[in-house]
Amino acid sequence: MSDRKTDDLSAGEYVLGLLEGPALAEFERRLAGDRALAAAVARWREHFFALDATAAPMPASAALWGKIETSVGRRGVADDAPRFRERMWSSLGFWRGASFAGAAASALLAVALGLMAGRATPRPMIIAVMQTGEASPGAIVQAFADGSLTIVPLKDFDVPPGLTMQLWTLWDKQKGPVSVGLIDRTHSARFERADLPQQNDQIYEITLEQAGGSPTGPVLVKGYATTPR
Amino acid sequence: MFAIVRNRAINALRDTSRERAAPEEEIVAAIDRGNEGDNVFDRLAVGSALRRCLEQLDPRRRTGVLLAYVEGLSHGEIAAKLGVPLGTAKSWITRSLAQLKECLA
Repeated sequence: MSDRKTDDLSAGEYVLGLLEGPALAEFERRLAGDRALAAAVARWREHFFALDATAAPMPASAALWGKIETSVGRRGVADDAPRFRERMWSSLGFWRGASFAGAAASALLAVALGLMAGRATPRPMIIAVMQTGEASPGAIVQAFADGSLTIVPLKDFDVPPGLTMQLWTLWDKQKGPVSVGLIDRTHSARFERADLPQQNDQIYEITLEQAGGSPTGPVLVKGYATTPR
Repeated sequence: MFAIVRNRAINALRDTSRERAAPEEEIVAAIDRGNEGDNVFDRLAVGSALRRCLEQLDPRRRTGVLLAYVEGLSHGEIAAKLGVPLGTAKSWITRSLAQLKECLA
């Protein structure tokens, strides 16, 4: 049996999850530098992928979502998210429950990892704490590398009927303020605005508007963007 | 992504199973589910290349391959489940892979 053929069968065993211990370590070491071997692994994965695709989508329970959200929300607490992830990885019940760790579990983890990669460890490019006229914090804007912005109100704003709160940003006096979007009185909001710059000292402000093209209403809160340290 | 998750899942599962015996309810649940590998085979699209090629394998050998991929069992566990010696299980898998490779090429 030629080496190439042996390699190909090893690649198959690797994809089946049958390599263990030193054999697995050795295979993975070679895999990192051997394109032909990597191609063999890719072929086997493609072949067997049809099996993953038979898995019925498994909706995550409310409790699981709760856990994911909690771990995402608590990202500031350094220890918490890893412990949750560790528990998930090491829980036999979780994996047996996920049955064959196929598409269902992968999809769930793709979501979880997506959250972890995106929202769970979001590193805002800039943060602006917008203050009221009395210099108390009124809302926080965070802008992320993917172009999304989140705004979190820190107080209840008094919005008269018929008016709406609008978030603006100003980075170029020549250009004038640019509307980011409309905001609900008390709720956090998220905007996808990859078109807007994210720079230090960029100004964010919320005004009360009828709805219009330029900020004409009273300024509720205003703040300068800074890069988180 | 799938591949990474599946490899890490299998490793996590194996590490854990070595550390502690599965609680009784998990064993019962596993028995209730029957052979997930065969179930998955039945769900493969009729006419798909993988199904056609798996069909050409001896049923017990096919089950061995599926037990590895679908349930993440090791050579030893597959041997136990199929009731054959470890060496036999290993060579069944290797030969099945060779056969599959030829069929899928």
